[in-house]
Amino acid sequence: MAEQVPEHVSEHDPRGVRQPAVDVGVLAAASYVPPGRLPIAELRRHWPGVGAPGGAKRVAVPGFDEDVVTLAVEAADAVLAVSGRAADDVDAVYLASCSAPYAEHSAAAEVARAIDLPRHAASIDAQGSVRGGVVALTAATEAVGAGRCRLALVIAAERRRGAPGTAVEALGSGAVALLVGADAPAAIRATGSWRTGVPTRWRADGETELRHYDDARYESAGQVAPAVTGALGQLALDLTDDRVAFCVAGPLDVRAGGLVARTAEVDHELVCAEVADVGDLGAAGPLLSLATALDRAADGSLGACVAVEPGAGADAVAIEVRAAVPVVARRPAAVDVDYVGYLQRFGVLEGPQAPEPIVPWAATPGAARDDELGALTGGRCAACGALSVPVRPRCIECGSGDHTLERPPRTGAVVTHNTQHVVAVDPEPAPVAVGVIRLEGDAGTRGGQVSAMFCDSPLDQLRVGAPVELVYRRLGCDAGLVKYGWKARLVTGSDLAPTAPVDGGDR
Amino acid sequence: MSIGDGVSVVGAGMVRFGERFDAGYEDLAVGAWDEVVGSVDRGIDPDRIGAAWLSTALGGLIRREAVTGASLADPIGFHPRPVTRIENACAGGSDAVRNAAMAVASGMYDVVLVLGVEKMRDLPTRASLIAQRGTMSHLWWHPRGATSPYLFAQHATVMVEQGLIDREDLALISVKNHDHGALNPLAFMRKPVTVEQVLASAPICEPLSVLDCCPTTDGAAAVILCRSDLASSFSDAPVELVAAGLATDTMYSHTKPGFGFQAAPTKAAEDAYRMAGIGPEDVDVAELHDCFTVAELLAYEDLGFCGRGDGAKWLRSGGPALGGETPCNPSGGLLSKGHPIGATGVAQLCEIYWQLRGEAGKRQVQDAHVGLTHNVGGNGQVCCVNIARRA
Repeated sequence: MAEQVPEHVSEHDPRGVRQPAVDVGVLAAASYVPPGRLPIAELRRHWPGVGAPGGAKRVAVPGFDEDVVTLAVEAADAVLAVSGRAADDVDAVYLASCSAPYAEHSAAAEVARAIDLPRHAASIDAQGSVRGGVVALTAATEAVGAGRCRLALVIAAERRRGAPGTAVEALGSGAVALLVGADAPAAIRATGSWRTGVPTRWRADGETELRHYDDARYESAGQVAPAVTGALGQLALDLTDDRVAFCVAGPLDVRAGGLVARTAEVDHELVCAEVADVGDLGAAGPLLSLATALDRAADGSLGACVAVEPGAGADAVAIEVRAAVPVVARRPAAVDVDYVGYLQRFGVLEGPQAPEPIVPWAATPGAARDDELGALTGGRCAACGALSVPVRPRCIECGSGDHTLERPPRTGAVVTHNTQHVVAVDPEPAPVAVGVIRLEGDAGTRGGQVSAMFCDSPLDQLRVGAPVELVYRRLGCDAGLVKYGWKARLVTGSDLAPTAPVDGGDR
Repeated sequence: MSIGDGVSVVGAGMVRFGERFDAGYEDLAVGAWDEVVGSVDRGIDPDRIGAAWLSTALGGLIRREAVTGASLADPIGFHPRPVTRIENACAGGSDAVRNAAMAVASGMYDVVLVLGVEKMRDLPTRASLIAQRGTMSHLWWHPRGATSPYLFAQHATVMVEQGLIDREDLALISVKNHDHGALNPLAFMRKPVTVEQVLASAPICEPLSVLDCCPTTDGAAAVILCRSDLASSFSDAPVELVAAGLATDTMYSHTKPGFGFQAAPTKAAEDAYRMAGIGPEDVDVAELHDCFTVAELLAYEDLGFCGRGDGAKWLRSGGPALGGETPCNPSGGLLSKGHPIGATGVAQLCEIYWQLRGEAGKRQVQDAHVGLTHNVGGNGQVCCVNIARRA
């Protein structure tokens, strides 16, 4: 299945060849892939005929408690450990991802906090592009080369998923970290960029699932190939040189990988190493393959790492391996995850939630016990005649336990009132008035009154003694359950005289 | 008469009250612990302290974790000794003192610690006490929208409309307490205010404005109590706790016996005076629960510092000011010093301890022999009045 290399890949612009003036490179590399694996065969049980990007046989699935920050921390910890360098010596961290937990808030700063970088260290986010990993490596190389930092941590991490039932649904999760500094065993010899194409994979603001233009051959031949070869062309690297041992690229599918392998005359398996086992790792994909290549590369070999984003282009670095690079791959023993588990881990399917500390009151047994409240029922004391609203186990005046249920009149007079300008309820805007109402026809000291919020009342007309009526309204809504009850409404008609006098109480 | 065979205060300490974004709950507790241990005149081996009482009101609501005795034992290293957590709304601090005093009086412990701590500013100001609406009475009948200021403002409405007070009387209490608090280096709001500023401040719950309301506060305070016969071994000038009165009333506003007075504080004061064998005229200095200006006005009358209905007149005569007949809230009170709920009652006793020992600096009340704390919870549904005097 031969592919024609498009003619325009021979384009080259010498102005774009960038070679670091000082010796900067990769000191160490580490990767972390979580243990969960969704076999593509399992996916096909539900979506027959659907594959996964990169030709993956299975994709790495994050745990319920893993996101880009925690994945990145795993890789960062590993690279610091294998390098023997201290976190306190790192003065910049770059985090590349298309799936960071926040749309606005630095994930790089979260990682810096977790691995205890010094507070002066810069934290830099490279988000929104699968080229981010190589872009960050390029930026770190330039920063070290310019003397802006001495030791930079470059991390790429992803926890992505595409639309269900599509060819981009099953994407991988994992993280790669590179430590960049001077006098490194793997020197960055050049960096280059090449812009080309129109988008074939995208995710709009606010969306959670990757979309794609469903034409794999067009994507590989029309988008990926010109971008990869264009970027490689900027590296001043002779791919026919016998010392060129690897040319890793990503994120790629098998077809595009083969094309790159032929272009660079390198081992196809190494072009997108591990993709078959972990899936498309997005911004972390090219760096994961690079880590694998560095681990295998003989001293004195040359190679390249390319990140390609259809619709934007590609970014690449040329590397010379001078000595063995410490590389570690954290790979907890893989565990298969079924499709339901996969969807649960991304929150697409949600099981029963743990109860909130405060549950909607209207759904509790307490609400059932207080069922009569909605009807404004009181208890008339058989011993002293006082009316307790709501019904109480013991009379509010005399303590007797003997009462008969009674529905009091729904008219009365204001005992006290307050207009509140700061309230904690909605939807009513402030000001909101609340008060105590003496029910019509009831005397007594403590009985015969209710508390209520005022509604439909001119607040400047609230006075002690003013007549009101009780009306049934919504008192609020909690988790969708409406709470109904009684509010007080001023009676403002001129034909109504003020009713019961205010009881000043027994002093 | 006294509490049992006599209970004395031999140490008092508190942290600076305020918006303590620098300090967590445990930091505040440890701060008060270090202060109280260091305050004992002749020193104290912390191992001598046999038990402790912890007052925190909102712990679970803000921290979403159960506050227990271990919440104090853990940070100060007090385990395995017993610690009891007291929660009794805003009166918890004084009630913790009361319970600790009873434990000493019973003979069960010789020396005990009382520590109150509240971390309120781990929530936005609008979410703290306002969010606690409805938690002090039935969820259904606490009127929707009612907030903490309402619990006291409902008295003010009636008093103003009945002509017992005018709005400016309330403002004068805020002015007085901010004047006092400006003299207290541990107070939160140390800037004096004018009547005009109080009246012009943002309305909160009519007739109360924001300067009629205490601030949301972080803080901690602690005292060490012991058997009075041991007090001289710790202290050069111990203060004896001679009375502790606690009373309750109903929870609902609409089952109060009326407005313009409070039943539970009145009863708690009566009990405390009887226990101490004194009357209100014998009190030289008082720390009052001025969570809102009107609450202090109610207290003047509930405690008998003046006659019923005479609160405003007594205020305008200078009775509760420093240098007046019975100086009230020389510390600045809740309005100026701040109101970290569980710590408030304990901090009130700290101030009385310092006043009776002549250690209150620029806010010192001259010749203070007898001091009183008045600590109200909820809408007046619980109140604790404690009395102390020079030993």
